[in-house]
Amino acid sequence: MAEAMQRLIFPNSITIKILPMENIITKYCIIQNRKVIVNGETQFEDNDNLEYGKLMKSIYKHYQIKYPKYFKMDNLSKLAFLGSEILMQNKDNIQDIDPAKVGVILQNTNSTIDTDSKYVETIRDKSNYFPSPAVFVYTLPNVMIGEICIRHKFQGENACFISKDFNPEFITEYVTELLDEDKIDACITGYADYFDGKYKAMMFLVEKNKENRKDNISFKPEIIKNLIK
Amino acid sequence: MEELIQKIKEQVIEVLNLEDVEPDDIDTDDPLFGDGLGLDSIDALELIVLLEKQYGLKIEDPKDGKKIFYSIRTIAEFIENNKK
Repeated sequence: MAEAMQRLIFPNSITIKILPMENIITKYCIIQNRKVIVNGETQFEDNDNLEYGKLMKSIYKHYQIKYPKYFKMDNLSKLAFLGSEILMQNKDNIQDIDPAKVGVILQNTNSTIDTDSKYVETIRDKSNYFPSPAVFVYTLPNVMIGEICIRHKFQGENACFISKDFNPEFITEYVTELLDEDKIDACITGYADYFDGKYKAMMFLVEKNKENRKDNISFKPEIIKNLIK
Repeated sequence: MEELIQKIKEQVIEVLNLEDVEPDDIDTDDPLFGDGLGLDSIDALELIVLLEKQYGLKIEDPKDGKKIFYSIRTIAEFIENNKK
């Protein structure tokens, strides 16, 4: 409308659109194939072929995380939690943001099928019927996001989307809209999935760009695809 | 009684996934909730399941839960007093 009015009044003028500044990835973390890669650098590698629980505990200890509730989490939450902890280390500026302006938006393929199956085991036998509350609370994928939010007191938009594969186009569009509309100022986003011993986390800390620098990593699907190759 | 107390400590550590906590780290008379082991409401439910599964004991009145789960000793006393 404003553009049309401008053309009417000043037919020869040039329209200048003020676009929001590009959003950037300020840190990223990939946990897969027994490695933790942060900003492209391998920071942790397991050469002892540890089973999943022990592998995650090694990562927990490697990054000197102190959070006893971690040990009560299910396999999926442990993975997403560790990814978020690694992203948040040395990122004090995020803690200074209004908690209501920090979002957590993740994708996942197998939802909580791993924990769902464990819960079913606690109720399968009618003669040995002891539903476990501690297992039941993890039978929703949003709970991994809840664990991250509780840890850092984040209160911004959070959602978990189930899709066949990680979909950078979808996630960038969704999170960019939240940032550009000032719903949030920063976001932990990406993908975390666990099923049957197989795991993969690709997580990104995305912030609004405050300064144009050559080494800024744009929050764009093609860039993400390149980072996770 | 001491044997039962030791067994309960081991069971509590196992069902509540209290990593890096040894039975000797838990004071028998310390409160389990709040300042003590810092347990939460889900842990309380897990303790109810523990009593039912391992000792066949049900807490009939939920109000009794606060007293029964105050410490490891109060749990042991409840088990001793309600043995079948």
